[in-house]
Amino acid sequence: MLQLKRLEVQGFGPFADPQVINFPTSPGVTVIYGENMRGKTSLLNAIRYAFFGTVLGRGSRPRRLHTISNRDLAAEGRFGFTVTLEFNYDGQEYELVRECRPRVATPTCDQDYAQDVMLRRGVSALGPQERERALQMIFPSEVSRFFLFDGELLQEYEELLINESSTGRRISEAIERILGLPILKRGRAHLTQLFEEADRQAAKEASRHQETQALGTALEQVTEQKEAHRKELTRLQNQLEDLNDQKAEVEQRLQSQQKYASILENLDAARARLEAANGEMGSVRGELQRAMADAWRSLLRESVRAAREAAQRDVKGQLNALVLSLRQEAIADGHCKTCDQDLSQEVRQRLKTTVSADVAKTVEETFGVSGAMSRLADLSKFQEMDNSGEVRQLFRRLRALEMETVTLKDTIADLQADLAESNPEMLRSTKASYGEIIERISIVKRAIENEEKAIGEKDQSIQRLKRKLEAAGSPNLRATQVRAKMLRDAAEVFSSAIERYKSDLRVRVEATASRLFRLMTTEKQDYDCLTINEGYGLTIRHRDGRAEDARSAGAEHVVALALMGALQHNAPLRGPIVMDSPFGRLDEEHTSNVIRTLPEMAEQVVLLVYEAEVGKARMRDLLGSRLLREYQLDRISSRRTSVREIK
Amino acid sequence: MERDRETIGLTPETQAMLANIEERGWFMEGQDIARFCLAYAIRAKVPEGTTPDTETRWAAGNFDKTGEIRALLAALYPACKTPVRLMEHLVNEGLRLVAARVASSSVGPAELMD
Repeated sequence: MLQLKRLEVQGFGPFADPQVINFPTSPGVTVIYGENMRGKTSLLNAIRYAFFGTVLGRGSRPRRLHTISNRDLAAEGRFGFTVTLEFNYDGQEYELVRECRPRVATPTCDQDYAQDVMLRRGVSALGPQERERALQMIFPSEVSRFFLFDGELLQEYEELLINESSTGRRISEAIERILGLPILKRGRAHLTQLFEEADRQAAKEASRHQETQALGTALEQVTEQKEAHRKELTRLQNQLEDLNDQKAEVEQRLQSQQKYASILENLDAARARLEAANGEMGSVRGELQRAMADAWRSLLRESVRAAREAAQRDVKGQLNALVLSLRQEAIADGHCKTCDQDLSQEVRQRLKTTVSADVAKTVEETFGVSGAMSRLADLSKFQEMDNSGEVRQLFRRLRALEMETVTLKDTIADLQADLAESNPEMLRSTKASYGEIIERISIVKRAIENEEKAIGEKDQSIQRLKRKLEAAGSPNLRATQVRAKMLRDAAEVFSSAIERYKSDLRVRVEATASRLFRLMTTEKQDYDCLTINEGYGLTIRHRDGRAEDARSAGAEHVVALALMGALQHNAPLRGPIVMDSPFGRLDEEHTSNVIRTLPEMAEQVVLLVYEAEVGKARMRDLLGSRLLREYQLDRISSRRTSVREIK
Repeated sequence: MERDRETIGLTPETQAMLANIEERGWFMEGQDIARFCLAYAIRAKVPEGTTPDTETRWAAGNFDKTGEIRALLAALYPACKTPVRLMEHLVNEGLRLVAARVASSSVGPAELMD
């Protein structure tokens, strides 16, 4: 079991000067109080840094080491930091020192730093390889999430209930890792390899003898084919694993950039619409320009019509006058020039009565139709048209489009300002690669199904051929067959053991988690227990036997804490639990229940809290004698904190 | 007898007005604006006249390819003996009238045609 004894930090986050925390080794809780910005998360990170050389920020993303140096010291040109951690593991004392020191006078990035690590066991310092091996055994990074966590990390445990979730898959693997399953799995894999090798030898042996040669060769061939399929399956499984990791990474990136992603989506839509509006505007403007080329005709339509009517009236009047003048002439001459006939006296008298002297005079003055006729002829050349309606419609559309483009440009400018702090190209490529990854995953999954099917078919052929060989085989052949069978049986024993162990573990984890959950929940009269699924997801079971589907954020937290405690109790690897502000989603009663239960969760618990979460008096009241030691993080300045033990 | 011209020109003032209207993008080219303004002046009953100090812009033959405008002027201004000079005058006067109206942002091509 891992037990923390002493932590010393220097230059790490707000801890400019060396600060020390001594952890009591008897079972119980150590509480470190500190307001925001005082360095609670830095202390959690200091332990993480000592073991793994990494520091995590929001969303469990690694933080640049350059940003960890104390800012006051950095302002004086003193960069770098040191963390010293003393601990016990399986009865032996260890001291782990990790120092991050600058390589250059003024470092600007992580490459400007070097890391020195020292691990002392008892009185002797370990060499690099032995040190890494020892650290991997004492505290594997894959399981650190069960020992060092904050409220944010606890939220991830909800993913265990979602079968397809890659985060859930990662956590499940980590749970199996802490529960010790990989040892059994490696044993099974090794035995499988051995029996397959024995099978190949048996096939070779058979092909050496004439009576079994045909069967042996066929078996060899089928075994080779199966091996090829298996290799391909392994390759595909690795590829799928890589793709799932990529998917998880992209999902995390997309989630953290969700806000920007939505702005970018709006920006892309606004740009596309602007482009379309500009295109439409160009085409409408073209149509308007074509219409305006003829618009002068529309303008003159009424004027020309009026002039034409006037000209027609003139022509008519002048024609009437011409007829009268011709009559007058005929009356005077007694001969009609139009029809070239002489007129009788009677006709001349009749015509005289129709032509007055005044009219005759007018005719004399206005005689001649050519003026009005030529005006009419000129006006008839005018191509009459009216496209004012079309112009109105086109111009209205153009105006609307102009307004829209102005609005769109404003919108785009606003969205660009919102995006100023992001990298739109990266966002776009992230979204594109997400789609690509999903597609590749589905292709690889189909390929895996095909390979598994092919392996199954080959296995059936191998079994068939083996049965035939058993009947016809030589003593040598039978010996190799017996060896192969023994190895296969041993591999099956391991397979059964894995299933049995997993099943037993699930039962034990479920029982412990249920017990811890009942201690922590405020709904003791309604909730009966927790039930565990294949992926170690826990479901709250109501006393009426039904699963509680609608779980509150607080309930999720309590379930996650119950799982943590259950894993601690059932894992071969045990250690301290260091929790950073884990009560953010819990009400007062849940918080009290969780604090009372903390000593049940692990032998050594370190709780980092701010007093608004839980005050000192309440903490002492809730934990009683199990509260072993209290520390206070005191503000010296905004960039400096000191650690004080509360006596 | 006064001789007619073969080209149509604009004064510096009306040239600037034409450029201003051209910028609005309602017309494909300057000649379309000029024809529109000529029609606008006729509709406004601008009397016969001439515009001095113009600088040539278009050939009359190109300006009135179909001969419609010349015929129209002959019908509407029968006393006119110099139709190209009249065209020029009507274009310049029309530009003044149209430029004055489009100075208001609420007036577009459709409003000019009302």
